[in-house]
Amino acid sequence: MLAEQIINGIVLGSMYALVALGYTLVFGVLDKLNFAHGETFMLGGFVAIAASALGAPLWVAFPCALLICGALGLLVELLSFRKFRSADAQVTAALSSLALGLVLIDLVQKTYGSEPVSLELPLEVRTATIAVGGIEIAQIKLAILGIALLLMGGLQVLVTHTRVGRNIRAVAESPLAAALLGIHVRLVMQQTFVIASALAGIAGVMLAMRTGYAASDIGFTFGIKALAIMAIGGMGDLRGAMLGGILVGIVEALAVQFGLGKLGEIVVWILMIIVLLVRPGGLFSTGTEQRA
Amino acid sequence: MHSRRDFLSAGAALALSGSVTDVMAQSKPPIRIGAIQPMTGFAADYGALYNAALTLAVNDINAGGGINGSKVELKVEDDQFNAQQSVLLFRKHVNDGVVCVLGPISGTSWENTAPIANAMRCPAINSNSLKPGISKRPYALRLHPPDDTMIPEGLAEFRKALPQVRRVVIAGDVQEASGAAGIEEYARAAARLGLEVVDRVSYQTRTTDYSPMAIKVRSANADALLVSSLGPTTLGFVKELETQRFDKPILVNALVWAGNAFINAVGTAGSRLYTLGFATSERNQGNPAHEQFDERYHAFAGETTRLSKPINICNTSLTYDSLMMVADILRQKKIDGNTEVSVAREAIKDGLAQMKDWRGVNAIRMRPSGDGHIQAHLLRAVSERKTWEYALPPAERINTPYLPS
Repeated sequence: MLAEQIINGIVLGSMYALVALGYTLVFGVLDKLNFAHGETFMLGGFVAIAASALGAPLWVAFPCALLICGALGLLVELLSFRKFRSADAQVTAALSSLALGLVLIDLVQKTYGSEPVSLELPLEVRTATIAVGGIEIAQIKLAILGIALLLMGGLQVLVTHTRVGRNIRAVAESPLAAALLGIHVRLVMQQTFVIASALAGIAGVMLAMRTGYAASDIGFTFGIKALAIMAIGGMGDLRGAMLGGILVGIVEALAVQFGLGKLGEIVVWILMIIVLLVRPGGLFSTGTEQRA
Repeated sequence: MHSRRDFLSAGAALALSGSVTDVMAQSKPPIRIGAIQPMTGFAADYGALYNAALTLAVNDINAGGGINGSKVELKVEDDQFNAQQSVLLFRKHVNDGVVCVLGPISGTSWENTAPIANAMRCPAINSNSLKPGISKRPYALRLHPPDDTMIPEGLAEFRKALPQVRRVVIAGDVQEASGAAGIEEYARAAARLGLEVVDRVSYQTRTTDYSPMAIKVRSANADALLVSSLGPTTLGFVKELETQRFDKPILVNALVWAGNAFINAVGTAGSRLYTLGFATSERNQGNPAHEQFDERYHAFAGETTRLSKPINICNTSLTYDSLMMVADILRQKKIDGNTEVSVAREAIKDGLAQMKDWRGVNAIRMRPSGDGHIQAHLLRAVSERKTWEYALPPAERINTPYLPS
């Protein structure tokens, strides 16, 4: 049972990591927090609901979430960050994105109601398992883990080995210097929002697949946890967000296993306080080389 | 044989009496009653469900000429299912001069509001929450039977319907007042009925992942699972249990019976799911008043709300009864819109204190604790029709009240 809990924690942690990566990308580039990010993640789940309602196969939800949530990222950048690029506009941008997130929640609630909406997946898809070393693991969990690892790996390659990634790192280092080098800073920012939001959208689809429903309030609970994971891993540090997400997933699963379920969601906050006391820069922070 | 003149005379008399009542109602100021419901936020569907029942009651009262010639004016405030907000809005209602407040609906909100109702000497009636011991006489009364009667009565029927159940796991939301209280009531009732509790599993409202809890429940190898948490929380939990192929019966307290979304969204995860309640939309269950209400409520709520269909009737009739009860007391005490608010409040308080039984849509017996009692029964989820139905036929249901002192 312990091994099952740990595997389960890794799967959940991989979804946390995808959302935390979005926060960390934007924070790395703009030094600002995008509080609409959790709601972008939430919208991914409702894209899956909409695709299912239209009778489309589930895989269709992934490219749809990628496109819709990516486009939403552009909108967030335009409405909540474009005008507030100066360093002293951190609070204004955060509040503006928070307001945009609330509008998104309201729109979803007006469309789907305020309570969770069921994602009808065939039961055999949700319950199919594979035995690995005597442990029954749900195939859907393995698929989610596989997709999450693929996306994390892909992002790492994008940031470290492509022109887009180099530009993102350059802007993260210094927007002014990047502009002087001829990098189109606004375009890089837009690209960052699109990538971060698309990742969140896909994570939202995966969570809906995993749980069997989408909920309009999940963006807040999941998003705020992803923020804590960003702090645990190191602000703006991509590897930190990935490893921090998985660590939190495992710790949460083990907390339930060892009878600390009453602590519930505060486990992540306790972990964050301890980590920041010991390593104020975050667990995996290695300076700026891995900053987005 | 009636002549045409008779018909005309009767019609004129009716029209005259109607217009006389209307004129009287218009000439007197309205009686203002407050309500606190979650109209926005994650629990907005609860607000829509219960607000439809309140509006139906207001329409019925006003269509009948109001209360002693005064129309009822209902003012609904939105607490977003937040206890702090409920307290603030209760104070606002009192300061705005309402004669009583209906709600708030959640256990946590009611627990925090009931003492303030007494401190501010303004009657408050709750018709939804389940946590025992939180109503405060004389001003704060609850019509809904709390879990200290619902769980023992319902669990006894669960035991009768599923005699093979011996070992149970209790799981629940320890963060929400009604959820946490339900866990303790399950433990007490299980001990009384000779059920062995092999494990307890806790989680919190808005938990993001229920799989660790589901793994723990599964590994306990019990015969059944007893759950106490609100609909949205329970939905995530039972869906995860289904994913993990947990195939034992699950009994959830009335927190999932109340509300509309759970039964509409549970799908195949509800195939072995039971809850506790005292009303369904089934016909011929021995309460014609409820059947009539059911028909009218569905027509009204179907037209005026955007709730998912079929709308779950659940305990909405109790919200309707709460307003009808207040109207009845005010009528008997000769209160109208001209009566001083403090006098009207005292009259409602006294009326509630004197009330032993109420016969409206529901037959409610008032307990000394300030809570109502209606016999609870075991209900089964019918996933394909998205509805609840009685698990046992009328003749086999247990009708012995369990009334703790």
